[in-house]
Amino acid sequence: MRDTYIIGVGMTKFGRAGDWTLIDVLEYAAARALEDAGLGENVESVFVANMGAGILNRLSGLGSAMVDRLCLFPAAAETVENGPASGGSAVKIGAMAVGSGAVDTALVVGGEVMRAVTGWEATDFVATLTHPEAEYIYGVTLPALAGMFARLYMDKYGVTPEHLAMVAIKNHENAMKNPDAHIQQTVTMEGLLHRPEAVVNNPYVAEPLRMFDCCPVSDGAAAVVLCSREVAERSGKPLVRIAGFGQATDTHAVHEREDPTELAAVRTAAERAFAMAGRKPADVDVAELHDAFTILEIAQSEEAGFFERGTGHIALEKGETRPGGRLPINVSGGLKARGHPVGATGVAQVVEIARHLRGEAGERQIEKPRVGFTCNFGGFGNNVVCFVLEREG
Amino acid sequence: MTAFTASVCRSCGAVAYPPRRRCRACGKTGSDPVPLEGKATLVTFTRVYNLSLAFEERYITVGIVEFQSGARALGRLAVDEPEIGMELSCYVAPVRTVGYETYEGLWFERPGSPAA
Repeated sequence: MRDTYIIGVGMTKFGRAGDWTLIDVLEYAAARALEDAGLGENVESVFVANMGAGILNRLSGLGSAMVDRLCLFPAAAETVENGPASGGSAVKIGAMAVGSGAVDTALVVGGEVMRAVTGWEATDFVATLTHPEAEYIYGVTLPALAGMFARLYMDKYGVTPEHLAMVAIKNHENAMKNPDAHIQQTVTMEGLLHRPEAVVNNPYVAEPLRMFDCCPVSDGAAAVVLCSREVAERSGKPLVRIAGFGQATDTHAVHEREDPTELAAVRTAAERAFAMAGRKPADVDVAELHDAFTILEIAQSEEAGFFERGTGHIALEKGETRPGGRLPINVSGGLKARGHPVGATGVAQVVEIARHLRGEAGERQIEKPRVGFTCNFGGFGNNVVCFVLEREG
Repeated sequence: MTAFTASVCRSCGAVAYPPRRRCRACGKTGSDPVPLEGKATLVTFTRVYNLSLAFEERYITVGIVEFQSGARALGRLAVDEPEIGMELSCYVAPVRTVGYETYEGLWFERPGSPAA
């Protein structure tokens, strides 16, 4: 397979779309990425990542709608749905399309407008990805699955509520330097856990997880333009290459997993991405992990191979995952504070890493990174897509 | 009150819930149903507060249990102070109403409790 490069990136601010429809946010992000790429001609293929348009927005056929809105005729177009990993899947399929030689250019845009419905409807919508008979009918939500995972994980490795809060504090602080982040507000350990009013301001959502352990419900879109090496060289843009991708699956019902504290699909997807890139976890300078719940940033940092199992929370405590630390994680603010418009997230992670590799991450720029990593976590870990991205030259 | 059904692989004897036609352990097709019943042990649990409108409770408690057969399942806990590793018995009762449809599901209670 030949190499695929990222020559254009763009995104909306995450948060509330207000009067904007799903097609509007997708168009905005896609137009920014196309403008950034500066291609002289139309892209050959379009992949739109989205999870819930059919349920939330009563829309289908987003691939065709996007081509029409941006006048990209007669580009090929598809919609890609893989739950909260739709974005990662669409970037992977785009990379396969360019890598195979079938096309030289592809636009990948992911987006979601979730705030078109009430909060509980949004939670219920995401819960439709759980096992229909063995999970969903019981009222199980993603926070519930994360709560059961967190209880075992915390017991086994000595992770405390304070460690979970440290993830939230770090990622909220990071988001202060990201103008595209949904939440721009710092939080403190005192406020989250220790002041008397913490029980009101930070109530339990699914024990032991509290509100500030969970990502917000967000609207927004993110896009990348992918191309062959020849097109990338012609563009004069910094060369950012998709060095490796990896995807893996696990059982639909979480209870079927032998060790319920393991995220086997994260481990396998990361191993596959590193193997394809010819890289190892220690080579990574900056990473975006899928912290839909604070516990997941800690667990994924271990499963991806950055820290020994059971030591992710210690690395966090030592500041190793802060900007300037050994491996900055979620410099964008992560899902926790940048926000989580489900179909957009996997693309937004790639946008963030590409910006760091290009040296275009503004105030939050990590110093001269060469290798970046992303982990987009679908279901409760039943479908995971990882990328290794590299700067050339 | 009908018991829920797990499956046993005809080739290797692996138990699965929800029932599977194709075995996850050996990959062979063909299984027989077995009732999901008897004593179970609590693996993990959570109290969920952020519920859909189908629920009137302030919170519900859900957990994952392991039956003596090795099958695991998720269900509602009718236990005030659950503890990991506690023994539970299983019964079937309504868990959710969507529109006019009421769904039955697995409930878990301390052995000897009236509902079980």
